Amino acid sequence: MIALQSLLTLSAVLFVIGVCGFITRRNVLIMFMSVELMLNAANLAMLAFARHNASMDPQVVAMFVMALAAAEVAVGLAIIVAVFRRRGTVNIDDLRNLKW
Amino acid sequence: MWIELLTKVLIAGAVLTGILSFGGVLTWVERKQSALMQDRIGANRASILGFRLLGLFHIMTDGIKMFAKEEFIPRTDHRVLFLLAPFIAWLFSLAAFAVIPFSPELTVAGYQVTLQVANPEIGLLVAFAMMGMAIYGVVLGGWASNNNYALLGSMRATAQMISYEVALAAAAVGPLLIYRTLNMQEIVIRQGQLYNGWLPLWGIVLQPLAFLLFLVAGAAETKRVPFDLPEGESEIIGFNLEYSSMRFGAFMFTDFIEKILVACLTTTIFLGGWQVPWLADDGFRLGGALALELGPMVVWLLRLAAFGIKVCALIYVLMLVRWTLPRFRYDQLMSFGWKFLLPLAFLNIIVTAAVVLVLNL
Amino acid sequence: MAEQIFFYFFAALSIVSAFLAVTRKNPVVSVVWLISCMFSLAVIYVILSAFFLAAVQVIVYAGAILMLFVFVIMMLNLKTGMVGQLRNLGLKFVGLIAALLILRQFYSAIKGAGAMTGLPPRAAAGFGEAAAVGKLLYSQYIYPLELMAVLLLVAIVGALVLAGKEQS
Repeated sequence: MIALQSLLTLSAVLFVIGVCGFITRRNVLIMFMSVELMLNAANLAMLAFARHNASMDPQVVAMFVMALAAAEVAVGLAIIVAVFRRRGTVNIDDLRNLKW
Repeated sequence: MWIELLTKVLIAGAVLTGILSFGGVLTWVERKQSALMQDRIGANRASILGFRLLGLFHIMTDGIKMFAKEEFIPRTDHRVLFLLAPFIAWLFSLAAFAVIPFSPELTVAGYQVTLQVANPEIGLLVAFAMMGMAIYGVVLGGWASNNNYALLGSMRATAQMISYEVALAAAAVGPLLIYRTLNMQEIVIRQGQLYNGWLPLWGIVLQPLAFLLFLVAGAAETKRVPFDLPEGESEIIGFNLEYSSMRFGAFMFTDFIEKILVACLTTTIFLGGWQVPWLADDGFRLGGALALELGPMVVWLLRLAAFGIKVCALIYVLMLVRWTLPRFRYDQLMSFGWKFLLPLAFLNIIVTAAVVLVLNL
Repeated sequence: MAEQIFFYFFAALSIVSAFLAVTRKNPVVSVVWLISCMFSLAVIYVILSAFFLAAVQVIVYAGAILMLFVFVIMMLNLKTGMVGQLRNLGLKFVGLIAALLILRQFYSAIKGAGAMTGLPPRAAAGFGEAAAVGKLLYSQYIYPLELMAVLLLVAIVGALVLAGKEQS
């Protein structure tokens, strides 16, 4: 028997790893991957509750999250490519010019 | 439970052995076929005690050659990925065979036996998922080689395989709308009906356009001529440039395995899988008085053989194409995939969906 | 029993892969670990009898989204010097504090939910299959689905505009 709590703990740990990566890494690509990791952690929690409550609705929501992630990645990576072409870097610290 | 596990392992072993040896034979068939079409004799030198057996020993000698050659590993930061990449491609292509239904179910001594390793409800999706993962072998191999030509080759390969995977999946949607299932065994069973009592309602009869699209996209997916830009052995350098010895062999063998895989998928979806025309569970039914009673074991064997024959025929067609057509240029390849195959596949989906809705199939 | 062994194995694998994914210097290696993480999550989805979602996870996430990452990283062809720069100790400290705080929150939330509750031993027939997901998608969730389709179309056009050939 797998406890709901252990699934949620797994989801929480993955989410925190994602947050940690997002904060500490300066490479836009890896920050982006951390976001994907967080989305996946949320999906896992969603599916755990779906199974626990015997309800299909969270699965549909998880499906939407995946579609959203696909759209997000397409646009996000396009932005990264465009920025890289112009500035020649993917380091977030070198991309501060929006501040002024 | 242990007996079930044991049968599963045995079936998996049988499928694995079958696919691997069939892939080995294909390397020989490929050479002989090319020789035939180019008016040459082809591989016939290897002999044991003077017996040449049409050059069949070349399969063995090729294997020995691959193993015995010196393995060159380039200086790279990612040695592990470089070493692992061919086997990623190899492993995932083989994993896709788990859901292929080679035969129907047969009850032996109270046990259900099928020559199919696993039969999940989402069978076809599993096959597509594994094919998608196999691309990583090619991508990572080219990247880890630390060679710009290999990197360019692997980028060509990635772009091509992703593009044609979309077309492949879209082409399969049409028949799936008719079968209303993703379960591979169920897909084959749905094709067992007869139209007017004589025409077997296989996927190719109901969806001829989807069949052509699937076959073309499948050929591109396996990186065969005319879609062999990722490899282009002799002219344009491909992702496997830095590979030698058995790791090169693994990449080459993966191609043959993927060719068998595409043929198996096409057979299952479009050519009725293990269905033999007019063969019911208890023998041939040709309508009226024409009937031939057969035992369940004979029927099972006939159906297994039918699957094999269909797969062989498809592979032969793919081989004929390979040695007939010249190679695409890269931009032609891309626009062919995205601007011709994919729109046609979408059109097929829309029309099929409308027909299914109107006729309430 | 087998279920549990599989779950704990793949849970551990996903955590290790996720950790390696966010700490590796080279983005391609990161992606490889992320693929391993997503793959193990797909196995856990199967254990949760979300079969269709597991297949979508592998096809869309591991197969397409991460492939796009690999492709873009290769296209940018980053030199090792450009990628490194993980020397910011203050930032690491902030990250660690944030992680601990969030973990603390999650811990109290999960603990506060009460005693350990096991999942129901068996899911209903058809639970998590493609048909069940599809029926919900095309009835109750039809408007979100259509909106999602529009969003994906916008994303395609947006990506083309942003990363397509430079004008002039």
